[in-house]
Amino acid sequence: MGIEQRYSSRALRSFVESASSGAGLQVLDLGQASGATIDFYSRFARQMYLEDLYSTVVQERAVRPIKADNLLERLSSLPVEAKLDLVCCWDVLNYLSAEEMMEVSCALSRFCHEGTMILALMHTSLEMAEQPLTFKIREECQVDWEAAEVKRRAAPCYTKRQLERTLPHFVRARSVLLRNGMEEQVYKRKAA
Amino acid sequence: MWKKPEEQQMQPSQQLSGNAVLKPERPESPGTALIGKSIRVKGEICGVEDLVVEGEVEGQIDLKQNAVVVGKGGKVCANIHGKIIQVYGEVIGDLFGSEQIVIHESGSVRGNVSAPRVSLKDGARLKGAINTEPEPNKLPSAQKVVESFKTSSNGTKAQPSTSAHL
Repeated sequence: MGIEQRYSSRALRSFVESASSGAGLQVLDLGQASGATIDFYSRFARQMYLEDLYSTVVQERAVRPIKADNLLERLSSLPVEAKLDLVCCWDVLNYLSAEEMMEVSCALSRFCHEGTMILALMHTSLEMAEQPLTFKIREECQVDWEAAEVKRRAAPCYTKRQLERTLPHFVRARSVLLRNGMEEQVYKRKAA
Repeated sequence: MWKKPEEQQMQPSQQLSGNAVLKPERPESPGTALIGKSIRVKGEICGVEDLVVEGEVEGQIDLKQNAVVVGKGGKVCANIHGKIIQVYGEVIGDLFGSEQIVIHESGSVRGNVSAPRVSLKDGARLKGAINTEPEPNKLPSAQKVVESFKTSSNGTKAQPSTSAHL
């Protein structure tokens, strides 16, 4: 397993710049935890919540259809009073159906305040890795990602309109097309 | 020419699986306790010695002034209070380190982690919250989570704050 790709995240850079005035933020990472990423979060975050959403969803799918309430039971690290400032979804949303994504969005929205930033990487090419990639935030908001295996599967290639429908509590703030078949998308929580 | 047998043998406290080496920092430390591979403990462990867990522990580990190492074969289902906590094996429970917590490559933790310094090596698995400014009552206790899981699996709907499948 080696480094496959690297990109410079404008979204993270702008978040860090705006966060630098006051630390003590709350961050949720829905990918696989990595030491480098935790080091990055710890510069500005008071609380870091780490949830491997994909494995949670796989476990939940085996029992029953994904519903927001059931998902909340599985997000064990999040206290009910958590108010998140940043949610890093990485590429996990690509591995959910539109219905599942809507339930996840509904569950997450309860922990977000107006303006909470959601970072997602959406695949724009026809194929993607069999399982979500592992992301690591390095110095200067450089993001490395690795695939756990070489197997590939078809990517859903969600359109902007589909994403707007499946993330009803959030509004797209920016999107940047990357050179390697992904698009960095930033959503912000709408006012309640 | 010949070394005495006792010089040739490593002390149990120095030789651990997963390349873990525990070096007592304080000369007055009375030593290191080892829970071996075949040992299973249920209940509370407390005292003033460093501890290495290669077996199974269920309950509570309370060694606030000492180092706790969960070796590669160790399985702990307990909250752990220690000075420095190193995880090479599997832990289900909250970790409270007054100095540092290190989760190594082979380590897996399901629970919340609270210490001034938290280090997660590549390949380590952690599902839970990290708090680098320890406030014990701030994070939901894994024990509560386990209890609520038991409740929810009995058919009662649990509240989102405390319920989870670990």
